[in-house]
Amino acid sequence: MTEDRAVREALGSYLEPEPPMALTVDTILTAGRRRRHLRQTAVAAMGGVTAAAVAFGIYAAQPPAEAPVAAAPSASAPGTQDDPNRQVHNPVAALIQARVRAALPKTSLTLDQIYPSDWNHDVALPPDQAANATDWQALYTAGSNKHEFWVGVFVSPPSQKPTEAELRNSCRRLGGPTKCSYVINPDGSILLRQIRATADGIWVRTVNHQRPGDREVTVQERVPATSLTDALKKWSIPVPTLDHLATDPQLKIPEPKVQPPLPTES
Amino acid sequence: MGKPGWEGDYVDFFVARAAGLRRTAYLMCGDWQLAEDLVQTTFVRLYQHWPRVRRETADAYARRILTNLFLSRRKKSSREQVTEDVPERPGQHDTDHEVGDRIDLAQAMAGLSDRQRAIVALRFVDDLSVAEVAELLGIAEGTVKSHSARALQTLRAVLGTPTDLERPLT
Repeated sequence: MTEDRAVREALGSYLEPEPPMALTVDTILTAGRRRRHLRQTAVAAMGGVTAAAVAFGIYAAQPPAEAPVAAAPSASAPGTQDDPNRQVHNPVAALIQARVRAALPKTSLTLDQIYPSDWNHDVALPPDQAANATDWQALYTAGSNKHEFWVGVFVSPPSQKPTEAELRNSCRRLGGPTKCSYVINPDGSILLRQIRATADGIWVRTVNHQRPGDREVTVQERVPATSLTDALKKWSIPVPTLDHLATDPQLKIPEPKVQPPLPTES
Repeated sequence: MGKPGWEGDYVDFFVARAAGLRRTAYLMCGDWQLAEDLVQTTFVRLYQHWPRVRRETADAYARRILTNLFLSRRKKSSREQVTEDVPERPGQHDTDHEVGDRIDLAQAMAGLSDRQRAIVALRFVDDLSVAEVAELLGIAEGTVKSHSARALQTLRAVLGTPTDLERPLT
């Protein structure tokens, strides 16, 4: 027996007995989709520069990417761990849906997902931890499968608001077929508006409102389009409406009962 | 959320490779739960980039993510140092001799450095060549060979491999 073979055989026996894997396809897909949305949102809001996002204090929209989460054992049947809508009747979920409806009374939207989470997770928190959420997110489909409307309501980690120069530089760095603008309001809050295209042909129009007290709301409409001109034809929600929802003072979530550890880069 | 058209291919890859990657991760970290966390994180990260990942290189890419996660995690997390204890309970069917071997091997693995464990896993479980491991870790082939040699020296005492069967690693 060669040494290589002896090592391989020994390591093979070391791997036994192999416990069943709790990780499921549904868990991975839910985490992957959510992470992708968060990343696109953060990129959309701040130009894709994580360092800038951290410096600008909006990284609640981009929690540490791969914080491991408890693996769910079963498929996404309603009410199971994998079902992100199991808290659809939570009062905070109801509030978010009500504010969206109030802002968009004539827009045909179908709720796809709504769930609480926090800085350190990529998936929905279990029901008994919803009170500790630092963000709630709602995703709607609007017509076709890829036409989506997304709302994120955040309690951000304590941070300094960006200066005007930082905002200006952030917008300038975007380049390409994107648009970016910002308004610093008298109350100190910041309204960021941005348009950008993702690599897979989705055009995203985002309004992000950073409020005093480390609060934040991001709203986003996403459409598949071939160009900005095409996207402008397909976006159905006017920018003033996005602004209105993002700045809606009633659209806020409670302080987490137990604040999670501050996010760290993974 | 919207379900991209490429998800079916991604799911096929997950079904085909998740268990294998978990075994690799276990050999690196010595803890099945942590191994599963690493695999989950690997696949979440892979999901982000899947539209740009060529299927023929997906396996190498996933293995690279997993290994980097393991190595960077170990650097940052002092609370997750390798334990001297055997991390998993042996199966009930094991004989005393087998249990003893596993305990010895677990302790021997725990005595290796992170990089040595990663190299052992990649070389002897994933069957990668020295060149492939070097490419994956971004180090020289000579470094892989020297780490492998030192790791095997440690394991050899446990495995009891006759020294006359020793040969240079290729």
